[in-house]
Amino acid sequence: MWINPMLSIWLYATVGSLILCSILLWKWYKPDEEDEK
Amino acid sequence: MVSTFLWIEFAIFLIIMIILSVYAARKTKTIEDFAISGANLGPYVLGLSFAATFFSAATFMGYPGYSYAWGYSNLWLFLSLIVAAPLGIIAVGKRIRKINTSQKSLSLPDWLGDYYNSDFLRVGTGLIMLFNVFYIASQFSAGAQIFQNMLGLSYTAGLIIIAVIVIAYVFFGGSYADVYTDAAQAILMVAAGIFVFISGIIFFGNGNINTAFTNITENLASQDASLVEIFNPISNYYGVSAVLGLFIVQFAFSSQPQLFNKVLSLKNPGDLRKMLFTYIFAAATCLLVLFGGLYARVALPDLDVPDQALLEYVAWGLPAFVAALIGVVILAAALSTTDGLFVVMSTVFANDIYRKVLVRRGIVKADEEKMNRTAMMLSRIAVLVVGAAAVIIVLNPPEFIGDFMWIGISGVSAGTLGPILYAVFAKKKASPRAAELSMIIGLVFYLIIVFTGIEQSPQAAGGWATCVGIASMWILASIFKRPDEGEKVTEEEIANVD
Repeated sequence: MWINPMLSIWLYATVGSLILCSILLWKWYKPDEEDEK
Repeated sequence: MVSTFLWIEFAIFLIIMIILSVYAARKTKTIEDFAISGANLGPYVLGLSFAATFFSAATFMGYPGYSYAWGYSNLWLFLSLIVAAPLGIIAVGKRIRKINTSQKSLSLPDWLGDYYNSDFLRVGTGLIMLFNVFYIASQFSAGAQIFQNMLGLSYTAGLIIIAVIVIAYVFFGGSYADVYTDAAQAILMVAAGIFVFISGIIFFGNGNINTAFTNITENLASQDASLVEIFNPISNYYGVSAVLGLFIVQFAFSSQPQLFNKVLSLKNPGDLRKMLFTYIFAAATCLLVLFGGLYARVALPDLDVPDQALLEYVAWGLPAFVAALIGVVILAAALSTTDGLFVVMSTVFANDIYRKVLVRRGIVKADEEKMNRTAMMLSRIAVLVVGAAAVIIVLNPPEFIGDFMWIGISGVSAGTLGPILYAVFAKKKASPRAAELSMIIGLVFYLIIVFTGIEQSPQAAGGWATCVGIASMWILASIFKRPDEGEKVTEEEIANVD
C-alpha cells in the first residue's frame, strides 16, 4: 500500500489504465488495417 | 498584483486567439466547415484538441472544488476520466469513424437520424443536446468566478464578460477556431496540471512525494477522517454504486458529438492511434490539477467556496504572475470546451433540424445555395440564444459548478447511449422504433430520479439512467424486428441527401 488505501487505488489504477490503453491501441488501431478501408 | 498580471496575460492570450479565429473565419464557408473543419487536420493537433474539449473550466475549478470538499474520494473522478473515458473512446472510435466514412454525419443527432433512418430520433437527440446548456452554463460560472476572485469584479459583471468573449469567439471562428485554439489551450492545460501537482510536493514534502502525501494525509485526517477514506458519505461518490455510475457515464461520454467531429477531421484514418495516444497523455497530465483542491484543503482549510479552492491555492503559494497564468489557463479551458459545445448545438438547429428534416421533407422550400446560407445564419442565431440561456441559468453561482456540468453530461448520456452503443456493438441494425423508445425511456428515467430526488448524486443518476437506456435498447431491439429492406432504404436516402 502507498501511504493510504485511496492513494494506492489511484496510483495502481492510473498506471494500469495507461498500460491497458496502450496495449489496446497497439492491437486494435493498426494503421494498415484502417488504411485498407 | 495578481489582477494586473491576469489582465495582461489574458489580453495576450485573447490577441493570439483572435488571430487564430480570424484565420479560421476565412476558411469557414459552409456548415460542414463550421462543424467538422473540412476533414483535413493532423493527429497531434486533433489529439490535443480532443483533450481540451474533454477538460473544461469545471475540470480546473469544479473538480479541485470537489477535492477540497470531499478529499481523497474525489480521486474516483480522476480514475473514471483516465480509465473509463479512454476505454470508451477506444471501444467506439474506430467503428464510428468507419460508419461515418459513408454516412458523412455532422453531429450526433445527424448520425443517429441517418443510421436508424429516423427523423424522430434526429430531432429528439437534437433536443436532448439542449442539456448541454447546463454544461455551457457551468463554464460561464467558472469564468465569472475567476474574474470575481482575481480581478475583484462582481460575479454578474464577470458572467457577462465571459459570455461575450466566448460567443464572439465562436461567432467568428466555428470549428477551425475550435480545433486550432483548443490544441494551443490543451498545451497550457497540461503544463498547469503538472505544475500544480509538483507544487504540492515541494510545499508539503520539500520535493519528496512520499513525505508530501504522508503529511497531506495526516493533515486531512486531522481535519476530518472522511477526507482520507475511499468513500466519503457526503460526496457524490458515496459508495460502490455511485462510483459505478461515474464510470458508466464517463465511458458513455466518450461518444459525445463534438468528439465525433474531431475523429471525422482526421486527414488519414490510420492516424487515429496517434491521436488517441496524444489525448490520453494530455488527459493524464491535465487531471493532476485535481490535487490542487487537496493541497488547498491543507493550506487553506476555511474557504467558503470550494470551487475557488484552486484559485486560492495558487494565490497563496505561487508567484503572482504564475497564479494569474493559472487563471488564464482556466479561462482558456472554459473557452475551448464551450466553443465546441456551441458548435454542436448550433449544428443541431442548422443541420439536424433545418437541413435534414425541414428542407428534406419539403416543409421549407430552399435550393442548395439558399439552404446553406440559411443554415449558416441559423447556426449563428443558435449560438446567441444558447449563450443567453446559459447566462440566465447561472445568474446565481451554483454550490458546485461540477454538478451543473454533470447534469448536461448525464442528460445526454441517458437519452442517447442506448441507440449509440447498439449501433456500434450489435451485429445487426435495430428497428428505429427500438432506438426511439430507448431514447425516451432513458431520458424520462433520468428526469424522474433527478426531479423526485431519488438520487442526489448527479453522477450516479446519470449512471442509472444510462444503464436503463442501454438495457431498454437491447430488449426493444429484440422485440421490434427491422424490415429487411430497411438498410437499402437508409443508404439510398443518405445518398440522396448528401
